[in-house]
Amino acid sequence: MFAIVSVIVVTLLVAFALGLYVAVALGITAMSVGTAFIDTPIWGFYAHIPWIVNSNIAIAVVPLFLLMGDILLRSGVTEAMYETLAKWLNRLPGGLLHTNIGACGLFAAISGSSVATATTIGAVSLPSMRRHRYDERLALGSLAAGGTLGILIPPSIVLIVYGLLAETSIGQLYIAGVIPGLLMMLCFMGVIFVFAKLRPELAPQPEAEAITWRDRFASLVALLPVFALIFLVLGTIYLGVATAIEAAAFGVCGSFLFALVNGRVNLKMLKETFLSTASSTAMVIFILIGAFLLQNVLALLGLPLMMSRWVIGLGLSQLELILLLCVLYVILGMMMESFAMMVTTLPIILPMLIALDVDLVWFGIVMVILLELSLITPPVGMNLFVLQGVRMRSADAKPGRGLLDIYVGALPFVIAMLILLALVIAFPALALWLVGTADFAA
Amino acid sequence: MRMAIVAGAVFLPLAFYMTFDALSRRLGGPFTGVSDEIAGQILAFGGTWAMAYALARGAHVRIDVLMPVYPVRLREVLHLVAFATATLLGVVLAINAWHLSYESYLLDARAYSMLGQPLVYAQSATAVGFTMLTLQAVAMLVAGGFRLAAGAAVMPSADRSHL
Repeated sequence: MFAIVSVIVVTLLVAFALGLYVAVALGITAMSVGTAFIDTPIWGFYAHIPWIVNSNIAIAVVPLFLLMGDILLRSGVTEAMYETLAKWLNRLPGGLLHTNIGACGLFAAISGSSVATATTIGAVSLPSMRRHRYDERLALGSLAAGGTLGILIPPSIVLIVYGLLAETSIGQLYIAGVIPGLLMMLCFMGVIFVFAKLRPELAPQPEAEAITWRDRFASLVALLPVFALIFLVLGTIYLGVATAIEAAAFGVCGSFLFALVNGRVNLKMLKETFLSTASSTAMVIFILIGAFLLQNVLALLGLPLMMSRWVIGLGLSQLELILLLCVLYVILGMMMESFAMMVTTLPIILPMLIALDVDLVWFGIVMVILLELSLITPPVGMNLFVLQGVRMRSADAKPGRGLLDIYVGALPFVIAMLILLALVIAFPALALWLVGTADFAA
Repeated sequence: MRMAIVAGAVFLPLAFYMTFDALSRRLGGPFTGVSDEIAGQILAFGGTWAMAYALARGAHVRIDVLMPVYPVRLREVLHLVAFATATLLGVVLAINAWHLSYESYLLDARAYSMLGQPLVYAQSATAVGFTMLTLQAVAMLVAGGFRLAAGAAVMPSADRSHL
C-alpha cells in the first residue's frame, strides 16, 4: 500500500512543482500508478471512464446550475437586490457591511460560485463603501468572506462535485448546507457588529436618508425573483417535488424568465452566457474525468480496502480523524487552490472516512467550510485575488494598495469560520437535522 | 468558439424541455419520461466541445502554487510543459474515445434505456471534443514555443469565474 501511496504522492508533488492542469495531474497520476502496479493494460479505463462521466445524468446538474448562475449574473437582479438590502440593513451598526454579507448570501443562493459572488457583489458595493468612507480593509474582508458563501449555500458547484466523487446525494448535500450557510452569515454579521461597536470609525453609519417603512416594504418587490428562484431550486428539492437535476432545470427557466422580463436577453448576452457556461462545464468535466480515472485505478488496486484497514489499525476515533483532516486542509488551503485541493485529496481520504463510518453528507459540509477557509487564507486565497482585481478595476482605485489590506481585513472572518467549523463538527445536527426532515424525490 | 457556443447553448432548450416534462408529469399531464436520458446524450458533447475553448481562455484550473516563486523564464517554460502534458492526456483520451465509438459502431451497441439509441453518435461527439482539445493544446504548445523563443509571454490570462 505504501508503495502505491508513495507513487501517488510523488507524482502529484511533481505535478504541483510543474504547475500542471489539475485534470492532467490526476489523469497522469492514474496512468503512472496504473502502469506501475496493474499487470493488465489500463487503456480501457481511458475509453470507458470518460464516456461514463460524459453521459452520466447526475453530472448534467453541473452545466444547468452553471447556466442558471450565468444568466442571473446578466439579468440585472443583483443591483436591485443590493439596493433593497441596503435599505433594510443600513441602520444596523456596521451598516453597508451587513448589506455585503446579506447580498453575498442571497447571491450565493442563486449562483453556486464563490468567485462570481465576490466579483459581482464587490463590483456593486465597493463604490458605495468608498463613498461612505468605510474602512477599506474591513469592507474588502467582508466581501472576501461573504463571497465564500457561494460554495456553501446551495446551489453550490463544489458540493455537486463532492457529491459525485463521494457518491452522495446532491439533494441531501444541498439541504445540509442551508443551516450552516445561514449560521455562517450570522457569524460574519456578528464580526461586523463587534467591530462597528468597538471602532465605529471603521464603519460609519450612512447619513440618515429619508427611507420610510413604506419604501422599505415596497423595495422588497426586487427580492421576489431571488426568493422565487431559491424556492424553485431548494424548495422543490426539499419538498420532494423535484430531483436535483429537475430543480436545476427549473432554476434555468426561472432565471431566463427574469432576464427576459428585465429586458436583458439579447444575442450578445446569450453568447456571453453560453460561452461562460460551456467553458466552466468543460473545466469541471475535465477534472471529473481525471478524478474518476484515479479513483477507479485505485479501486482496481484495492487501495480503498487497504486504506480502510490501515486507518482502523491506527485506532483513531471519528473525531480524531476529522480533526487531523481539518489541520491538513487548513494548511493545504493556505497554499492550494480550493477546487484542486478537494479533487486531488478525496480519492485518498474517502476510504478512510468510510472505514470509520463518517457520514459523508455531514463531512461534505465540513469539507466545504474548509474550502471556504482556503479561499480567504493567505498566501493563496482565490477570493483575496479576485477582490484585489475588482478593487484595482474600480473607477476610484488608488494605485499601490496591496493584497495585505485584504489579508488583514479577512482575518476576523477567518476566525468566525473556524468557530462555525468547530460548531458543525461538535453538533453534526446543524447540517443533518434539515436533511432528516426533507422528503427527497426518487 | 462556435463549438463552445453550441456546447453552452444546448443546455437552455434542455432545461425548458426537462421543466416541461417534470411539471407535466407532476400535474398528471403527458410526459416523455426520457428527459434524463436525453440530458445524458446532450452532456456527451456539451461537456467536451468547449474543452479546447476553455484551454485557450486559460479556464482550466492549474496547480499553480509554486508558480509565483519561480523565475520568469522557468515559469514560461513550465507553461509549455503544462500544454505538452495536456496534449499527452488529450491524445490518450481522444484515441481511446474514437476506439470506443468504433467498437460501438461495429457491434451496433445501443443504450440500455427506453430510447435504445445507437451509442456511436454520442461517443463520436465526445471523441470530437477530446480531439479538438488535443489540437488546441498542440497549437498552444507550438505557438507558445515560438513566442518564448521571441521573448514574449507564453500563457493567456486565466479565467476563474467558475469557482
